[in-house]
Amino acid sequence: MRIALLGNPNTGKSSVFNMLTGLRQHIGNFPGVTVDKKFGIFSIEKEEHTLIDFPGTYSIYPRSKDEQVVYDVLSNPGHADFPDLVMVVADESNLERNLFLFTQIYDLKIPSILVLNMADIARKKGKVFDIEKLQKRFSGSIVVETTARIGIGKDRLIQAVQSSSKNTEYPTFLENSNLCELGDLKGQESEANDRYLLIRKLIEEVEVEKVQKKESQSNRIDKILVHPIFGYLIFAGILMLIFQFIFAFAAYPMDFIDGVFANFSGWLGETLPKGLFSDLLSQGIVPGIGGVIVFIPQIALLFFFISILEESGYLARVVFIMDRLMRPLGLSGKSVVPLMSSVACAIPGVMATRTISDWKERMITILVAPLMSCSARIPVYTLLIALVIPNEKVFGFINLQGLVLFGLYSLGLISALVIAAILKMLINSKEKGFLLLELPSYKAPRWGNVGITVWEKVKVFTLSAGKIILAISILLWAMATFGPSNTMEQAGNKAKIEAESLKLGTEEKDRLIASAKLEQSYIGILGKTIEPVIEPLGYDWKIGISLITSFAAREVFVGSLATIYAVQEDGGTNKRLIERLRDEKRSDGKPVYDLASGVSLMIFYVFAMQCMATLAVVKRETKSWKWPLIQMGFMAILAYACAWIAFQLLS
Amino acid sequence: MQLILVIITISLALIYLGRKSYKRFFKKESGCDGCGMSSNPQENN
Repeated sequence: MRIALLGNPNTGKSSVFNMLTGLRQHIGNFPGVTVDKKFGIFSIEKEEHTLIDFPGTYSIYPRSKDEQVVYDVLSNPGHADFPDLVMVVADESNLERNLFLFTQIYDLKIPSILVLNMADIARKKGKVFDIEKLQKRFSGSIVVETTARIGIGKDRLIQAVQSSSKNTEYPTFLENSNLCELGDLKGQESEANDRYLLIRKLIEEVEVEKVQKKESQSNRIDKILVHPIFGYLIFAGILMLIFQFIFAFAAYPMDFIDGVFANFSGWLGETLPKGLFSDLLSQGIVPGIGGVIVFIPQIALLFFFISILEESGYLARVVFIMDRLMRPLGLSGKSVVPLMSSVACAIPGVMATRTISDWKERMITILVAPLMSCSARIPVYTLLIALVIPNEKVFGFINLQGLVLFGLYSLGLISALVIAAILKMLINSKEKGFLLLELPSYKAPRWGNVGITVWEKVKVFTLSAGKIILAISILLWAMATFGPSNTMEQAGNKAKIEAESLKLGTEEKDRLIASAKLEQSYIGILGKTIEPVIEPLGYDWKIGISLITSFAAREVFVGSLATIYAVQEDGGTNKRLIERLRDEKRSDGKPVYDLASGVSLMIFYVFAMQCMATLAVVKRETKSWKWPLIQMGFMAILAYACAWIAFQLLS
Repeated sequence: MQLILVIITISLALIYLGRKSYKRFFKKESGCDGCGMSSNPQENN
């Protein structure tokens, strides 16, 4: 049997889905559209059933591309995904609003189950309903009460699936309620009014216990947390605190991991038999991977805090106050969720713009989403901050490095808002968007969920990004080790003579020779070719190479630097990357990584579109190369100009 | 022997990156590899 799982957003639909299907879940696409179709299989008495998780929606009439799928499938019995049974998940603590969608489906006469989920929360709010009366009102359909989050009600739900039948007679809930045309807004409005009148009447009949009228604790807290002034101050304070913690706590495990990789690389160089593959391992693969693994503690801490904010219900308040901030800038409230999602990663952010029905509005949000600082920037920012920003306290208690990280995140947000406002002026949009958001009650985070989130994010960061970094490190090593015919050998011999004339020690001599050879390698030639373009920003050719490779993913920047400097030092000493970067000098003896070039690099990464995956998703979502190319172009110009200004001001 | 291993490793790296780029730009499904997020925006319930 094909079962459609429907419901309003935030009704615990995914919990019901997980409860029934367990790990037998798959992701696909609805035919003809790019909306993800999550489906799972579950068996009842050896009979297999397919459960399709549809996008959350408040009504059968769509307001976005995602919701359109629900209308397209349910209004067309010939559709490939037309269900044999519909399971409508409703939040029992918010039954009036949730019954709207259910009654629409009930009137379509498709076999249905009404799942009254979150029964525990409804009880806590003092809402108790007479399920039998409700069942009588929706005869033909089956009403089941669950608390899917903790697995209560699974057996009842399975029984309901077994006893559902196609041949049942369905009375009509709302008389003359034929499905309106999508363009018939008046018809839809009139239907909504009539339907809500009946639903309110029904709720009065089936409600056993009335809602307590006293103000809830969540409302009292919200008076402060979503306050027009204190709300923003508290949010900024929380962010500041998170970045302070990231710098304070991550330093110890990072030093440990860094040391382990540096020692391992040195040990490999000394232990393995001399040869190209040994060099590849000790100078290419291990430093490249180690340069990224070292940032796991920071990524884990960031998602630990984000997960706590999400679990507690605070993140929904952040979306709410950001909506208020964006409206004066002319942005739709619907842009808030994609932009906030982009703080973790621009890809789900860009994909989340599907909820924006107006094409121009959606395009602006897609264009500015990658400006929000994503988690892939963390390794770049933290490496550069540790390198050029002193570890000092401001006002005696604020860590300066944490403050700079906060500043970089804020710069990303402000630039996204300003550019969106400019684009809004340039592109005339008729639609006035709105944000429909449910503020969940505050609750203590469930530590199991926090742990799973952190584990999942770290796993994806390490395995998926790690594979790309590994492949790029291998290629970089090859390009740094080989060069055109005899030029590398000649450069090496010349450096050897120079080192002997200068009477350098063995270590310095080896370093000079390796450095001279590196400049004549393929990567050196490529780097020297692009050096004039990046020199005004304060970067040398090695940084230039890392900028090019980090187009694959921003964190590759760190892995690339680790590989290039490991080759430059010919494996040599077991130095940590940050020490190698600190020792790097220009021809005039000044450090390559000083405040000016470091800040310039950070600013460059705030604005530059260094992410192949995001470009690919923008191309997919806009169905053209035009928009990703425009986006990459304006972000590159912005990055170059701002980095140049920063370098000129600070140098 | 070491040279052969290096050639194999470099070839594998090239194939992997080429395949990844092809899938990113020309295949329909696309997730997020460079970051710590799921590719499914509907995961909000």
